[in-house]
Amino acid sequence: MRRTFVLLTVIRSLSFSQTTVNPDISFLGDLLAKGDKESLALSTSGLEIAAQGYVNPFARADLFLHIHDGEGAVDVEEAFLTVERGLPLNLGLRAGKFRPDFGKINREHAHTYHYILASLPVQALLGEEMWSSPGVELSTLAPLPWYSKLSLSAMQNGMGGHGHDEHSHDKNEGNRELYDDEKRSEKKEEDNGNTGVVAFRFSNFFELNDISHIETGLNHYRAINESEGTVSGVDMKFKWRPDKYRSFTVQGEVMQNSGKEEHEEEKYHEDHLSEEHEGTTTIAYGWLNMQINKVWNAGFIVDYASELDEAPYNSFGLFVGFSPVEESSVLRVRLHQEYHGDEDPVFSVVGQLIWSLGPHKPHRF
Amino acid sequence: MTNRIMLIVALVLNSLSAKVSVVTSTTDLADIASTIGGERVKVVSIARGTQDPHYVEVLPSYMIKVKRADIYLKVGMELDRWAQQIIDGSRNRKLIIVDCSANIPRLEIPTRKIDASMGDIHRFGNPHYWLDPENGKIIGSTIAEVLSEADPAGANIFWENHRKFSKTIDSNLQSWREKYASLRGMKLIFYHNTWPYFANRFGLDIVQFVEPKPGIMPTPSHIETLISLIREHQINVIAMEPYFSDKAPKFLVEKTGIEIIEMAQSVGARSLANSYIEMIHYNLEILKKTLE
Repeated sequence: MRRTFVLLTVIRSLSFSQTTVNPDISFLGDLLAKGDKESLALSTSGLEIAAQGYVNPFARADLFLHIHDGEGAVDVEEAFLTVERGLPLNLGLRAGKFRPDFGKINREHAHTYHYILASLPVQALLGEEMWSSPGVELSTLAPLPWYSKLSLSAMQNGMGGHGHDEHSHDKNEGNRELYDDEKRSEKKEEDNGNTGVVAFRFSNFFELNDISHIETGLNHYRAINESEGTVSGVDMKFKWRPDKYRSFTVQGEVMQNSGKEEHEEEKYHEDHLSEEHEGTTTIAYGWLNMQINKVWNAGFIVDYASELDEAPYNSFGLFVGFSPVEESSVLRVRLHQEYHGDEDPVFSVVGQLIWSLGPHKPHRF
Repeated sequence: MTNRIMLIVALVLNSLSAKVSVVTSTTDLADIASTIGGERVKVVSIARGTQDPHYVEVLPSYMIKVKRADIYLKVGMELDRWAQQIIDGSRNRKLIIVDCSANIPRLEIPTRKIDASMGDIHRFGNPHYWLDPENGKIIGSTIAEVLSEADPAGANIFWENHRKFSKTIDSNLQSWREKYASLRGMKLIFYHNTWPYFANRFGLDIVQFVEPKPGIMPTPSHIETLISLIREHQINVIAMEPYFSDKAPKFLVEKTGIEIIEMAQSVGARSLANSYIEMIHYNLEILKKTLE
C-alpha cells in the first residue's frame, strides 16, 4: 500500500514537472490554393513547429522548424537564445540562427501575412523566407522618454543566403520556376565562403494617444567584403485600434540595394538576371489592413521593384480574411494582379486555410 | 550661494523621498496599489479599464513604463500572459515581479485534462478573482508586503493603509449585503465567465453564458438554447462587459425581450466605477435597477 502511494506520488510529481518545465510547443499548418486563367493548384507550405520557453531566469530560447511538403528535410528556420533582462546598459542579446532586426518585414513570419504571399520584390532582396542566418545581435534602448531602440547584428550569411529557400520554391511563387539544383549548390558554396555582414536598425515607437501609435525605422546593411555593396531602408507602421475588435493598420517599407553587387537574386536566378549591377535597385511595399469586426478583415497590398528579372515590376493585391475562432484557424483570400516589364499583366487568385495547435498563433506580436 | 545650497538640499531630500514606481496589468490592481501605497507610490496600469484584460496588444511604449518601475503587479493565473513580454522587453533587471493571485482561494480549477476544444480555459482556475471584495483585501495584503520590501521606511504606512482599506471593504460588504439582499438567487445570463467570484459573494445564480465556451463566439444553436433557457427560467437580464460585441445579446433582446446591462469588470470600465469600491458598488446597483 505504502509502495503504491510512493509510486503514485513520484508519477504525479514527474507529470507536474513536465508540464511546468516543458517549453510552449506549437504547430502551424496550411492549405494553399492558387488559380489563374490556365490552372488551379492546391499545395501546402508544410508544417512549422515552434518551441519557446525560458532556459533560465535571464534567457529565453526560441526554436522554429519547418518541414516542407513532400520533402524529408527539416529546416531550422530560427534557433536562438535571447537575453533581455540580465545585461547592463539596457542591453539585449540574441545569438544563434535568427532573423536579424532589419526592417519590419524581415522579422514577420509568413503565417502572419494578411496578404498570404510575401511580396516578390521583398523576396528577391531578402530571400524567399526572409533573411535568417547564424549570428549575434546586440541591442539597446536609448535613454529617451519614448521607445527608441538601436540594434547591431553581425551575421554569417547575407540576405537571401539561407538554405531554407531551397525546399520551398513553390510556396509563394505559384508557377514561377526560379530555382534549379545546380544554382542552389553553387549558392551554398558561396555561402560557405561568406565573410559575413553587419546590419543596423534604429527604430522609434510613439504612442500618439490611447488608441493609435506609429513606429518608424532606419536600416542599413553592409557586407564585410565591400564589393558586395549595401542595402539601406526605411519603414513605417501606423495602427489605430479604437476597440477590442476594430483596427486600421498601414505598413510600408522602402529598401535600396546599391553598390557594386551581384544582385542577391542573381545568385539564385542567373537565368533571369545575369549581369552585375553597378547602380541601385529599389524595392518597396505597402499594405493596409482593416479589422472590421472580430472575425473579418480586409485590405490591400502594393509592391514595386525598379528591376526584377531585368524589368520593372509592380503588383496590386486585394485580400480578405476570416478567423471565426480567435486565431486558431484562419481563412484568407487574395486577388492579385502583377505587371512585369512589357509582359501582359498576370491575374491570379490565392486562397489559404491556416491552422494552429498550441500557443503560437498566426497573429502579429 | 545660499540659493545653491538650498537647491542641493532640496534635490537630496527629493531623492530621499523618491516614490516607489509601480506598474500593474490592470486598473483594479492599480487602484488597490494606490490606496495601499498612498503618497509614497506612483502607479500606472498597462490595460485600461475599458479593455479586455485577456488580450492586450504588447506595445513597446509599455516596456518603457516598466523600464522605470520598481514593481510589476500581475493578475496571474494566465489572465495577463502578455505581461511577461512587456517585462522582458523592459530590460529592467531590478524589477520585482509579483503575482497578486498567489494567496487567493481559487475557483473553477480544472479537474481533468484541458484542451482547446473547451475554449479558453485557464489551467489554474478562473482568474477574475478581484471581483470578490474579500479577495480585494488579500490583494491589498500582497501589495502591502511587496511595497514594504521595496520601501522599508514606509512599511508601517502601507500596513496601516491596508488595515483601513480592509475595514472599508468590511463595512461596505455589510451594507451591500443588506441593501442588495434582493439580488440573492437572481438568475442571470453573463456574456463571458468573468463573474463567478462576484456571483458567489452576492448570491447570484449564473444560468448560462452567451459564449458557448470561454472565448468562443455564440453559434446559432447556442442562441436557440439561450432563448429556451430565458423563457424556461424567466431570466430578465444579460450582463456583459462593455468590450464585447452586443450583436448576439441584441438578437436575444429581439426574440425574448430580455434586458442587456453593461457591468464594470474593472475600475474605469464605466464612468461611475472609478475606484475599486465604486466598481463593486456600481455593479450591484445596476443589477438592482433591473429588478425595479
